[in-house]
Amino acid sequence: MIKTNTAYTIIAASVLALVGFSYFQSRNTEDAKETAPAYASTYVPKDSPSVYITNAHILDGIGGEFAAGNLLIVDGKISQIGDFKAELAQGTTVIDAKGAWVTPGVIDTHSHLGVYATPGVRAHSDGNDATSPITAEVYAEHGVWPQDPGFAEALAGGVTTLHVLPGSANLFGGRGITLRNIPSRTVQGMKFPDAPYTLKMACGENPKRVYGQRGGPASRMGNFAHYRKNWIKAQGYKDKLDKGEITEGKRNLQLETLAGVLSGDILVQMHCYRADEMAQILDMGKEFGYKVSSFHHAVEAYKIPDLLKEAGTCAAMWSDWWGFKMESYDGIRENIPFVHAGGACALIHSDSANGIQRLNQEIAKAWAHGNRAGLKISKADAWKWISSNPAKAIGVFDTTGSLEVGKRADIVMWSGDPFSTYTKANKVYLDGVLMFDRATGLKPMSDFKLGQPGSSLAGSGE
Amino acid sequence: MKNLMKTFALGAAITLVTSATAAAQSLVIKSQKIVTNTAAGQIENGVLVIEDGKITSIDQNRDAIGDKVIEGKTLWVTPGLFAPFSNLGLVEVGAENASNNINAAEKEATVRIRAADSFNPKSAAIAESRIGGVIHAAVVPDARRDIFGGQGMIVSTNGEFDSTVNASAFIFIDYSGGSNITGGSKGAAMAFLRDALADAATFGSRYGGPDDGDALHRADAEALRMALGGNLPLLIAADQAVDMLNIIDLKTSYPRLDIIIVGAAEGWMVAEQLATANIGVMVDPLENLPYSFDRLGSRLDNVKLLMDAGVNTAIMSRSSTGGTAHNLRLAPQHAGNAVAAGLSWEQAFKAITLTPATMFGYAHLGELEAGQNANLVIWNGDPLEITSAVVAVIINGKTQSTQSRQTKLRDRYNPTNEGDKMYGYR
Repeated sequence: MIKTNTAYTIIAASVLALVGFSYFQSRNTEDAKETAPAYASTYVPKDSPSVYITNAHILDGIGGEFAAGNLLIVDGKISQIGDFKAELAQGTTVIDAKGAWVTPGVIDTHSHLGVYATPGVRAHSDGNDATSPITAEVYAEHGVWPQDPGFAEALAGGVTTLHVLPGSANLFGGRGITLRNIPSRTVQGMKFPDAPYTLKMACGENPKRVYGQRGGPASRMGNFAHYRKNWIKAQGYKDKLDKGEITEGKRNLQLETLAGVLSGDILVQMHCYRADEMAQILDMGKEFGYKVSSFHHAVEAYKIPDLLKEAGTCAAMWSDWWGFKMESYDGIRENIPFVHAGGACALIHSDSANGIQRLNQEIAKAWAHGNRAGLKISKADAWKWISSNPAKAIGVFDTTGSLEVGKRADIVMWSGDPFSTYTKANKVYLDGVLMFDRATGLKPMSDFKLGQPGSSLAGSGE
Repeated sequence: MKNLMKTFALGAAITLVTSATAAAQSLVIKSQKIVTNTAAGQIENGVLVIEDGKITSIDQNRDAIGDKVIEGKTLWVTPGLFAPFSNLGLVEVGAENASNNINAAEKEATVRIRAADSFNPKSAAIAESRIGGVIHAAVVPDARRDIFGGQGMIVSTNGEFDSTVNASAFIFIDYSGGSNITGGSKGAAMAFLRDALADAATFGSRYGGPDDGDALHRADAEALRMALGGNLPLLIAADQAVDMLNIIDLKTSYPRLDIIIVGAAEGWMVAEQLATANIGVMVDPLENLPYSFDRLGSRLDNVKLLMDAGVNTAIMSRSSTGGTAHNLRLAPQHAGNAVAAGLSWEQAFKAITLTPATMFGYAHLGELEAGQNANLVIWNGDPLEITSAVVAVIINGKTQSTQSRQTKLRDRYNPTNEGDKMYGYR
């Protein structure tokens, strides 16, 4: 999506690959020496032995299924998958899965873990900077609390990558952040290396409810006018960026983020429920030349799968939430499978510290309802909703979201068919490192949970 | 019609044989399994016969004949689900105040407020609950002005104007929100609660005029009196261990109170005391995070530890979004996850059927037994499996519609639909 006709974007592409997120810091295109990037990811997976999993029922996340397959992990990456006999190096851990289901790790593109952490006290309310409808300048990562107990419970549910974003009070909420689900003292230690930034946007009821009596927007018309005015400002800023006129001291954080969307580097994740509003937003994308990477919630996406497919826009949905707002009144349980059957990119998301723990059950419900309505979706295809499609929606599919040779060994081994209420995640690997093991009790515990009632490892009830 | 039949004929062969299109006199259900929730247990390959709305037999007689036969290799027949804690029928769209009758912020009345006067049987969430297998619910008026929400009711989900089973079935107290809504501290909430109970206990001598009470208006004290003798359960929301001990302590002064604690997130810490005091609980087995300082001890096996200690435990779905109205149909998922956390299937299933029914004095609504009016659900598999579906619903002997707004939206937008009618005409 990166436009290739300016020196800025050519340099940005290579700088982005090397140092992550702060290419805007060295704006002087003549200067070959890069300044140290700020807020860069410090995530480095631990060394781990090779792992050879045999005799597993494998879903690869891109529609493939092996009833009795093997998986070899070397140096934290998928080395081989399928029907093969491996030549094992010394020290390889061998696991006979005995038919256990093995899948790519769960990816949740809509989480407020860390920014609306438990305990849900006022001091932890960091998901919305509800001081203005336009806060494109804030970054969710600056509010994430890595000690949120919810991260460990999500890991126990098989979540290996998650995307934390601002809430939906604002029209432009701020940048989201993609995280590896690993315990860390710092946010930087969780940041997904080289993941693109995202911009959270919101349409519909929330912004006008929050700001209606506080200077606006007070209507959906007002929502749109605000978006468009700001895209126009962003276009002006992007022009200056492209000409090298934005030197240090002239940066405008708000417009920097918006210009990043226009250049295709920042992926729009937009909270939007109603079919007609999503259609309008797609047209606004055409007006300003940007793509909506993914709608979120998209409760009425089942009404417009053709429009989503044409735009190449994903829809991140729930299996069955409805009725809490007017814009969610028409929710149906077949939303995800109907979008999928319509040829569009369908995925599950949680928007819940509880729901994130059972996303496999959420897609199971949707899958069953879709097939009862006459669709014939395989489990292998349905697993796309929880792995490859979310990875694509947030721009990390090149390294994760499926079990393919060369990709990160983000893997879950389940206690049974994951399309079941009774199944639990037994083992969870990140980059080939075992991070959760139900049998041995291997599970991180946040600082907050230390010394709390019931927190002893033996009594945690897992 | 095509889509209707598709959704009815679910994979495994399910045949529906009718001899007449008029209302059937007798219905024979030939199943893979009947779950009775009685001493008869589960009946493999069971056959259940309904005549004139009453269950006349539950056995294994595969030769039974009737006006209408429902038969299928994977069918399970069970009592209908009973939601122990809901706002069903009190709200259409949560965020729209005009459609939301869950609590009353402005009015002075508290205990005398009845959910029954806010309840709308035509609420959209009722049909969705019914076709999801929930056929009875306890409807709770939430507390807002002080800790008393008012009188709750028991309803069926038949969606008719005669769906009220009991218009004044229990009284709801939100003690967990106490420090917010009564005086700013738990101490203030408990002082208020004790004053209120004393007002009710001394009602006859205390009230000359409407404001003679220490805590309650006369009419509210009169309503609270109904709970003192134990005829009307007191549903008290509380999560923190010490709060539950303080609530148990109320029985020292009022031994006949029938208290049921809603929430009990830290119930595992005081399970023995709850069992000894004969206090039942309603818990959500999916709550395992320290959502607040009242719930630091939340854990997935809370429900198992409570049951193991002998505490009468019902399962509710409050932690799911919509889990108190729009998504009561997720009760089986909550119960199934409790099985994954260590309960037996029977324990978990009773917790969403017989146990809540019995808590409110309607045990027969949670059981299948010959002689009773038919209140049951037919599923196409294990009801606690999230991939199973409801095939048919019978409430008080009458077969219910399996249509709702959502099935109609589904049918209109189903991508397998053929034809080129504009959407608005489908």
